[in-house]
Amino acid sequence: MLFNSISFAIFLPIVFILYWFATKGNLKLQNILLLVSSYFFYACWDWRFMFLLIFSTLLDYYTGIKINDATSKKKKQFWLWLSIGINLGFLGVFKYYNFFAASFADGLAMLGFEANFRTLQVILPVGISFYTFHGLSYVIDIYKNRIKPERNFIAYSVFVSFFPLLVAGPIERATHLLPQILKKREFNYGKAVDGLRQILWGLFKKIVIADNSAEYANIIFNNSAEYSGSTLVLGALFFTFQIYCDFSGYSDIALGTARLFGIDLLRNFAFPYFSRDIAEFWRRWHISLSSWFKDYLYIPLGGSKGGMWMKIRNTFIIFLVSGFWHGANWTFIVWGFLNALYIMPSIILNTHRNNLDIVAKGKFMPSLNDFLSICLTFSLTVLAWIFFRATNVSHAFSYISEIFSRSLFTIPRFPDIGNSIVIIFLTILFITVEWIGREHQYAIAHLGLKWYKPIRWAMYYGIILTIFYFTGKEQQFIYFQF
Amino acid sequence: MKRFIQNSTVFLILLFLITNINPLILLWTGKYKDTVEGARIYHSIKKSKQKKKTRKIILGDSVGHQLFPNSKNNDTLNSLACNQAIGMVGHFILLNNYLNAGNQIDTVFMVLNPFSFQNNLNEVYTYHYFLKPFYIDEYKSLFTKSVNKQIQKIPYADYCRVPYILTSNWAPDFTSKDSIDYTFLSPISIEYLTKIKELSVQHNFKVIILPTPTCLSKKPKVGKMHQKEIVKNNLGGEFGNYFNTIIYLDDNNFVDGMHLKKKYIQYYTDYYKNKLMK
Repeated sequence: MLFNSISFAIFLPIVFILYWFATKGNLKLQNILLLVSSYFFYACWDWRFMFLLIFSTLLDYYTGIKINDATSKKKKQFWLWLSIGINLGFLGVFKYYNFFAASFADGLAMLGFEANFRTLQVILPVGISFYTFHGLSYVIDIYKNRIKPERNFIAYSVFVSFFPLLVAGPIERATHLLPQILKKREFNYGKAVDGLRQILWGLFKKIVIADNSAEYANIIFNNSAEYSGSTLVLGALFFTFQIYCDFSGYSDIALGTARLFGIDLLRNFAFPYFSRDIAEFWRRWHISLSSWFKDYLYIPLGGSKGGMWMKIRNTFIIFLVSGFWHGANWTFIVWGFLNALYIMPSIILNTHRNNLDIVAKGKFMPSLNDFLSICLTFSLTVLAWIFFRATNVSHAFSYISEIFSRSLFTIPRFPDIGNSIVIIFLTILFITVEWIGREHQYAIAHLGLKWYKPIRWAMYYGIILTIFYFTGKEQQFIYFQF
Repeated sequence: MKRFIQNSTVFLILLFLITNINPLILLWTGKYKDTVEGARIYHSIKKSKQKKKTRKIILGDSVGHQLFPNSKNNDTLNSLACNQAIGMVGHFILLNNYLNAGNQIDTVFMVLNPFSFQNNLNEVYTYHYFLKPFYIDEYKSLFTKSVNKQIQKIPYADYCRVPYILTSNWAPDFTSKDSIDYTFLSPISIEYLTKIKELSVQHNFKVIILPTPTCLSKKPKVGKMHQKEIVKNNLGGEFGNYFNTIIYLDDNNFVDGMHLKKKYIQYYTDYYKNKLMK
C-alpha cells in the first residue's frame, strides 16, 4: 500500500476515525488499533514477511529484557550479540547474500578460478533495513543503560511497526518514540491540521516533482550512450530532484500521518540542497540515518577522540557502511566513498561544523559567498548521485566522462523534451517555495497561516489541482528497495 | 475534534466540486474524447458508427495507425486503426459497430504487429485504452466470460466511468500476475478472432491479417512464437502467410523499437496501400 495510492487514501481515514472515536481515548485500545493497522498495512505488501517482522519484534523485545535482567556483563554481552547477530543475519541473507556470492565469484574468476555460487531468488522484505535498525538501536540503548526495556509488548510492537515509519523510516529511537506511545494522546486540532499540510506537501513532492522527474531521468540514464554531455547533465539534475522529492516527500507524508495520531516522528530532511558544504548536507539529508550511524557506529569506533587519523578512518567507515546500507551494489559503495572524500577537507581543516545555522536566516537572499557555496555543494552532490543512479560503476564513469566532453556545450535533446519544460518550471517553483520556507520544519509549515481562510484554502486547492493535473507515472518510492 | 470534522467536511465537499467542475464540463461537452491520451480510440469508435460507402476497412494497432491514420478520410479505405491496447475485443466491437451502422464490407484488413495478439486485457494500458472507452452498457453484451473475468482482475475497473477518471489520463498501476502459456495468440484474441471470422461468414466479407514492419532485434522473439496456435484455432485462412511476410527492418528505423520513425512512414504506407488494393 503506497502512501500515494487510493488504498491508502481509504485506509488512513478509516484508521483515523476508529482511533479517535471508537477507542474513546483509551490508550491501550489506541495502541492495539495502531498495531493491527500497522500489520495490515505491512501485510498488504506481502503477508509472508509479516512473520519476519513479528519475529524481529519478539527477538528484540525478549533480548532487551534479558540484557536488562542479566546479572553479569558477559551475559549482557551474550544477549546483545545474539540480537545483533540475528538481526544482521536476516539483513545479510535477504539483502546482501547475492551481492557477496556474485562478488566473491567475480574475485575468484579474476584469479583464474571458476566458482559457481547459487544466487538466491529472494525478495527483499520491504522496510527490513529500517525496522532492523529500530530494533538494534533499542537493544544497544538498553545495553548502554540509556533506557529500560519496555515490558508492554503491544507498546513495543507499535514502536517497531508503527505504519507511517515502517517501510522507509524515519529510523526512530526508543528514547524519542516509546514515551509518546506510552503517554495518553488527545486530539489536537492544530497538530492534525499541520499533519495534513505536511502530507499535502509530501504528496506534491512525490507525485508532481519526483514521479515526473523520474520519467525523464529514466529515459536519459537508460540510454545515456546516445546523449550529449548537456543532456546527461539534465538527466543527473532530474535524478537529483527525483531522489530528494521521492524520499523527503515520503518522509513528509510519514511525519504528517503520525501527527494525525498525535505522534511526532524524528525529522528526516532539512532542506539539504541549500547546504553550504558537504558536512552541512549530511546534517540535513536523511537525518535519522546519519545520526544513527553517528551514535551507533562512529562514536563506538572512537569518533574523533583518537586524533586526526582516527577521525579520518571513522569517517570513511561510516560513509562506506552508509553506502552499503543503501543496497548491495558497488555503485552505492562508490557513492559513499565519494561523499567521504568530499567531506575530508572540512574534517582535516576542522571546518565541518562551520555552517550549523540556517543559510541567510531572516533574509530573503543569501550572500554571494553563501550562494556560491550552495552552488558548489549542490554540484558535488549531483555528481555523486550519478553513481547512486547508474546501473554499475562503469556506467557511471562513462556517464561522467561524456559530461566532461565537448558535447557539454550543445543544446540538450531527448524524446519528450517539450513536455519536460512544464516539469522544469514546476521544479523551479518548488525550489522557490522550499527556499522561502527553509526556516521551518517543512516548506509550507507556516505558509499562509496568517492569510484570510478562503485564500489559504485556495492555496491548498491549487496544490491539490496541480497534483491532479501533473501526476507523473506512478513510481515506487526509491527508498522502499533499501 | 468537532471543528476538525466540520472544516474537513466543508473542505472535502468544496474539493469534490472544484475537482469535478472541469471533468463534468469535459464530460458534458464530450471534449475529453479529444483531450485524453488515446483520443484516437474515441475517434475510431465515432467513425465506426458512421454510415460510409467504403467497403474496405482497416483495423489495427498503433503502428497500423501510423500507416493508416484514422483521422484521414479515404474513399477506398476506411481506417479504424488505433491502438493494440484495446485488444482483439476492441477491434471486434469497432467492426460490429460498423456493420450495425448498416455499412457493407468487402474486406477487413487487420494491420497488427506480431506482439499485438498477445494482449489478453492484462496490460498496464488496458484500463485507460480499453476499459474507459469500451466498458459501457452498450458493449457489455458483447463481452465473453473470459473478458468479464479479466476485467474483474483490474483494480478499480468499476470506477472507470467516474468523471475525473474518465476525463483524465489516470489509470491504476496494474501488472497482471497471470501465468502465460501462449506465445502468440492470447485466449481473448482467439475468442474474438473467431467472432470476427463468424461475422465475416455471416456478412460475407474477407478478413486478411497483415504484419506491420518489425524490428530486426525482435526476430528471434517472433521466431519463438508458436505458429501452430493459428492452425489449432482454425484461423489459417485469416492469417495466410502472416509470418512469412513480416518485413524486418534495422532498429534504427524505429523510434522506440515498435513505432516507425516519421521519415519512413510514407514509404511503408504506399507499400501497404499497393498491397491492399491488389
